[in-house]
Amino acid sequence: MKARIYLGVFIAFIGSQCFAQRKCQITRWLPTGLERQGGYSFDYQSGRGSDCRDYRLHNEPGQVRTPVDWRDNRDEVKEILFDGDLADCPKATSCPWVEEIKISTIPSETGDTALGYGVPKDEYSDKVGAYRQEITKQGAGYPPFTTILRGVIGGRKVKQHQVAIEVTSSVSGTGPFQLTYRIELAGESEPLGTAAKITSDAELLSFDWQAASTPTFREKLRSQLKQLTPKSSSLEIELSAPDITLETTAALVIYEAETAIAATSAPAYRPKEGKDVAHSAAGLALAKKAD
Amino acid sequence: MSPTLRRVWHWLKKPIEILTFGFAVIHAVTVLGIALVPWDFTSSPTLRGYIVVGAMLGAALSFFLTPNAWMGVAKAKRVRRRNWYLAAALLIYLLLVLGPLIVSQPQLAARFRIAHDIRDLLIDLMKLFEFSILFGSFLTAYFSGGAIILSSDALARPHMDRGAEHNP
Repeated sequence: MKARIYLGVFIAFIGSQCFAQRKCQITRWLPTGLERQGGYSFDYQSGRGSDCRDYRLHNEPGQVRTPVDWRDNRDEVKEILFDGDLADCPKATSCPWVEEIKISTIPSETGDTALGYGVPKDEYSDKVGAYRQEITKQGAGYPPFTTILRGVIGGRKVKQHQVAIEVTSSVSGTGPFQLTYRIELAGESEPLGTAAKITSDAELLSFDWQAASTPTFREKLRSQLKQLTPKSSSLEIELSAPDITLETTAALVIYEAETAIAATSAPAYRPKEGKDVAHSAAGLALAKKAD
Repeated sequence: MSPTLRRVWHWLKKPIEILTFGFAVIHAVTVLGIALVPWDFTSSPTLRGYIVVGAMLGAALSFFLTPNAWMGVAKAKRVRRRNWYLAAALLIYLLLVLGPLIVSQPQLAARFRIAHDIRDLLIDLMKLFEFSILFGSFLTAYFSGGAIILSSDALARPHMDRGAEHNP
């Protein structure tokens, strides 16, 4: 039994390394940080590559569910790095990481971020050094943004949820703009419902990409796919708009039934208010992964 | 001043006129204790804020309501009600304030399955947890403050000037 668990962890590790290399080549990791206040004990770490930042956390063995809120609170940024619960980790086991990867052309720097945890999440707080966005004037053009949230997170009905979701927002054209949203499972994951806050099944997970979530987007999303599963693991939605704006602070939220159990900022381009134009049905692409 | 405003003013003034300085101090110290004891069990600014706000509201309500409601009532009846208030304050403090704060500690949850399950429930129902702390502090301060005021003999002689019994 133990050997099987170790093999599973090893395969997951190798898989995640290959995946990470494809999506985000981390060239520098800051030393692993340890939080040890009030009986809590967990590790956190941040890394960066040429065009990406990576944040990850996990409980120490023997630790119970730990609510955590890690964010960059600078007024210009207000970025949620991870807001959710680290899952229970039984004694004498290896505790899986939960990881958030942010891929964009925005340069990064080291600096202070705010890490809160406990019950409630402001019970203990710490200023921790991590890679964070560098505040610079945005260059010309519309670079794509990709956000990945994956790993094991604590849940309400189910103690551990395996999640791996990747969302990408990109733009082409120069007015009218073509907005492309790509959503896919980024590794081993439980099925994810596309309608946020599903009430019918208490254990089913769903997601809400708030930055992209205009009424047209939600309508297209629901009409295309009810769930992201290993068999239909990705979908693409296209919208056109005469004018667009970039929403940077809103989160990608994972729900267990009606309860938000994890969130991280996931930027997306969206039509400027009142200028949302639904794209023709022919423009919608639904990519289904071949078996 | 309108009759309604005059009644309200009289209602607010009565406890200050009746209660001695000593009772007011005991009342304030008790409320301070209720607010500060749980600070050892949580370092959360949110929960500490709820505890202090709840205790202050409960204390203020008991300070003004109890003398007005129990003025002129016989001592035996007041003593019975004081004992009832003390028991209620203790029970509410343990069940709604200290209990949840202690159970939310991770060390206890790691050792005992039942503490683990209750803690998970508190995390899931965080708003209820916070409300329990606020409302528990409010009720504890109200009942314990009320119990102190009910112990004052001044309530039995509402029309006598303070110190009049020493100057017949």
